[in-house]
This record gives sequence, structure tokens and C-alpha cells, in this order.
Amino acid sequence: MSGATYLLHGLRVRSELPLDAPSGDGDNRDITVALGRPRQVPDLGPGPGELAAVRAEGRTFSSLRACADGFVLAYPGLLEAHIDPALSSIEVRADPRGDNGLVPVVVAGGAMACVLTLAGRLVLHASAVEVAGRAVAVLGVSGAGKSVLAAAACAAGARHLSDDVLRVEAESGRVWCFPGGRSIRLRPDAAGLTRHGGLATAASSHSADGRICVAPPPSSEPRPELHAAVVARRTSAPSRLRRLEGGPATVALLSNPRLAGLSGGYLAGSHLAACAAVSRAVPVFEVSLPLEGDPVEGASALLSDLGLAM
Amino acid sequence: MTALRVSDQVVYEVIDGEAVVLDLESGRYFQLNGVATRALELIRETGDLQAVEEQLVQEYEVDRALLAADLRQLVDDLIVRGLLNGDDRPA
Repeated sequence: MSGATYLLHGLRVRSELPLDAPSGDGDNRDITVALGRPRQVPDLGPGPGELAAVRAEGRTFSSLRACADGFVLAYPGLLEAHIDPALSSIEVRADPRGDNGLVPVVVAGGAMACVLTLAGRLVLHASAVEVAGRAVAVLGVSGAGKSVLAAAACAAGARHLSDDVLRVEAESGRVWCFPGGRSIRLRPDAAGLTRHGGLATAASSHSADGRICVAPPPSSEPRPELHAAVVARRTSAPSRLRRLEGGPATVALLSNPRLAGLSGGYLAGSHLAACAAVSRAVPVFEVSLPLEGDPVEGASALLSDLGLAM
Repeated sequence: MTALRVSDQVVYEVIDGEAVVLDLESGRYFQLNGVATRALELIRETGDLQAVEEQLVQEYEVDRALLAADLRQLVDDLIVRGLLNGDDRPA
């Protein structure tokens, strides 16, 4: 198979599709990504075998369904990814009507999160940075400010770990994080961050969907330990950090899976156990992110409040 | 007596004394406070509402009548949500 090998979320990925991720070594691989023939990917709505779906106003943004030969992850109008039952290969069929520039973003993010989730791994809807070998995960729904906070932390001196997708593993009372892709994707209104501190010299580009992709200095740790998880929430109020204890800490993690919209209890039991293990091992906080103010100062203060001085 | 059994469709995890209860059928989860979590554990162990009440009275310094009413309400709530199976029968 042609292409290159990447290291993504702890997987060695051999891909025909160029991915924005660190290079992996040699021919060893956990999963292959092949490019299939382009085809239109229509919005079929709910159907048999559906395991997960994200819909709003009658439109499907993504869906995952089980089929006779594995699983199909569909992003109507953009791509369809066929995943084999052994979770070792993905065939990507891009919709010619969609924006090809987004295909590698979805493959490296949503598709890998899907494969890992199906394999029973815990993948959070989170960005993460690393300071002195210790990782901080920023969780939250889309638009909560995860990427902005992570980018601001990198501008303040933290190292980039992952954007929007974070695989974590709890093991013997400790939690480990796996690095994701190289870049942080920012909305245009956060473009000013790329002129600050550690981001000023980072490579940046514009993505197909109008976002600014900035590649901060990456973490050099292969699997840094999670120091704290922070659930972000946008607010007009001043920044406030509040620790969540017990059940609410677990629920905060459970509420932020990267593969959203899982139907019924599918995989939910293993998610609950994994989230409980994480919340037993590391503190979970809720942070209000003010809409106004200097995000770099805010990120720096947050890391300091978490006991991570830079 | 009232025989109770935690539903097969339920899994839960206790974190710092508080349970997060997951309904595997619907994917919905519920949080229980410390006393409710202890009650759930005792229900799982004994399956007997009276025994649960007796144990909770010993462990918590609360009025028995108040505890009994709260416990009954919790049990009814869990049964309505399908998290607990109840069977009222003569002692």
C-alpha cells in the first residue's frame, strides 16, 4: 500500500491520504486508510443498524451504523468511511460535492475517534496541552472554547498535545493521554492568537472551512500523564474555576465523548467504567471562559491555578 | 416484605461515595447522592426494603419515619425509571 505512516492517538496509521499528524515508523501499522472511489453520500436519515448519529433541524451531520461487512461512518455531503469488523482498515469515499480539504481532518479526527470508541477506548471531545510532562485536557461541546484555550495555553508556553479529539487510558490509578494531530483549528475570530508568544513562530494555514490551522510546538512526551481535566463553558461572567467532585465529575466526562449521539446503551457501560476510573484518578474542574479579555493571560492564570507554572 | 432487585439493564459506578447509575437500554444516566447510593448498595446486597431501612437508621442519625418516607420515594422513583424491580408481597 502506498502512502505514509503516522502516529495518531496511539495508533500507527498507514494512510494513502496525507494526514496532518506526526510520522510513525516503518511498515508497522495498527490501521490502514485507503482511498476508495468517490461517491455521493446522501443524508439517509435514521435507518437500521444505526449506532450513533448527530442530527439537528432534520439534517444529519454524522452517523455511524453497523452493516454486514463492518461499520459505515457517514458525513452526508462530505465522505463515507467503511470500517472493517476487525477495526484494522478504513476505506474513505469522498463525496465529490464536498470540500476535499476537510476529508483528512475528519479522517484524523472523527474517524479515528470512531474506530477507537468501537474498540472500547475512551475518546473525549477535548483538546489538550502539556506542561513539564503533565497534560491538561479541555473538554466541552463545539464552540465551548476548547481550541482557543489550548492555543492560548500554547501561546503562553505550553506544548500542543491534541485538538478536539483526546484518547485517554486509565491504568492503575493513573491516566495517560495520547497525542493527536499537529494542528489546532481556530475559528477566524480567534486568529489574533497566532500573533502571540509561542504561536508567533508556529506554522499556520487556512483550512477549507475557513478556519486557521496553527501548529504549536508539540509535546515531546509520547504519552504524558493527565494532571487535570477541565470542562470549558463560554460565559459573559468572569473566569471561574470550580472543582467537580464525585458523581458530577464522572458525569462531566461522560457528557463529552468525541463520538457523540451513541444510541441507547451501546458502549455506554464501558464508557461509564472508563470515565469513573479517570475521575477517580485526576481532578475534574469546570471553568467559565469569559467572552472578553486576553485569552493568553486567562490560559496562563488557569494553568497556574491548576498548579502548573511555566 | 418488599423484595427488590437492581435491574439487569443497570450498571453503576460509585465515585467518592456517590453513584452514577446508567440505564444500558436508554443510555440515560442518573446521579445519586451519598445516602441514596448507600441505599442502592444495600438493596443490591439484601434485596429487602425493611433491612435496608434498618441498616440506614443505624448508619445515619436521622428520624426513622423521615428516612422511611425518603427511602420509599427513592425506591418508587427507581422502579418508575426501570432501574429497580420491585415485588410487594406479604411477609
